[in-house]
Amino acid sequence: MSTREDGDLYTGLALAQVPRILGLADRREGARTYGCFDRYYWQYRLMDFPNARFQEGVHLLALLYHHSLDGNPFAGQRMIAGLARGAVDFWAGIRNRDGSVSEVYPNERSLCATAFSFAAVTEALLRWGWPLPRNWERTARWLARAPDSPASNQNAAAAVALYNCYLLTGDTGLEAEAVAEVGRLVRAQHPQGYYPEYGGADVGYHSLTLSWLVRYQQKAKDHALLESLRKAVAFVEERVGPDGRHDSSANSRRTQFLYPYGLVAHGSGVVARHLVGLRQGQVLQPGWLDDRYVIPLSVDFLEAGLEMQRHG
Amino acid sequence: MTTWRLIWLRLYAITLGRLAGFDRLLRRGLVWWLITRRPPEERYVAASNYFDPKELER
Repeated sequence: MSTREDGDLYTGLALAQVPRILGLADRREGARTYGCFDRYYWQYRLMDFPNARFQEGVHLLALLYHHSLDGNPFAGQRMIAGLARGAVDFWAGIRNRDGSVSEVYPNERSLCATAFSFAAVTEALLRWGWPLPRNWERTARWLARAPDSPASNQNAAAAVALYNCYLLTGDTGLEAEAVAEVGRLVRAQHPQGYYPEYGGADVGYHSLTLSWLVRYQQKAKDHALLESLRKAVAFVEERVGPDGRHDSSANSRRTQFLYPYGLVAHGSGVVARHLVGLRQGQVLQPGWLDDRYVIPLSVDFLEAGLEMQRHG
Repeated sequence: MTTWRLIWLRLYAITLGRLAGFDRLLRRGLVWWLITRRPPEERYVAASNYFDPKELER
């Protein structure tokens, strides 16, 4: 199996989820909730506020629009660009006054949701060359000042969001904040190589942290991070079996998933094992997840596939 | 979650929760109650309990 064909597996699994994910979004131009990806809010009307994490769908739209590949009818589609524009505007509109966003309850000020949704929005803005939305500084400032989470994956996403803001605006203060955040992540890294998740090791969330740190590294070219990433990859390689599985019961947060992008970017041997597990239907894939988590895993699978095809 | 817990959470969120300090208090309480006070196998983790093929009989 060639690298390109392996990449096709990742992209295929991601692309299979796109119609479903598009169905989560309000695609009615002119609607008050146009661009909202929280179907429980805009369609079912069962929730009294939108979960900002669903807006991570804008990152997927950006990848779909900007990459022509087999099985992707969404590349270059005006509807995708319009929906992305709507998703960014909707995200900007649901922020709390201090720039943070909510995930579980109104006025939540969620670091997790703010970090991941802002990272996704800025990834999309970078690809399209669009400016940041009005009052973006509030969100960046809030993220920079928020105490670090005991979940390293959230801090990694925050670092990318801040660095992306630097790339979009040239504000070197934000670059410094991102570098500082990454520095704290590296200092917190356990000697065994994992980035702590509530004080322990969790392969699934560790792989998510790795993916986001690799995205940061690819832009920032921070050589001080390379050794940390090498240890982080080694940690995963020691815990994933030949069938692509890892012991979820041994994880500090009992995750079953594996985010492959960071591992693919490092050329890790784990990727081959993960692909075995995917082909055998033994490991978690995007389609097995709920509506909230299908989006970020599909993004990661798609980027993993694109990365493999670039080197195939 | 129960109906009354949801009602109290909403009431808190839209009243005292408008103030950052009270929201922080709630968050710390929820994190302690649902996560840090519990051993890993009992912690609240939204992204868990997905289907695993190993649940099937061989």
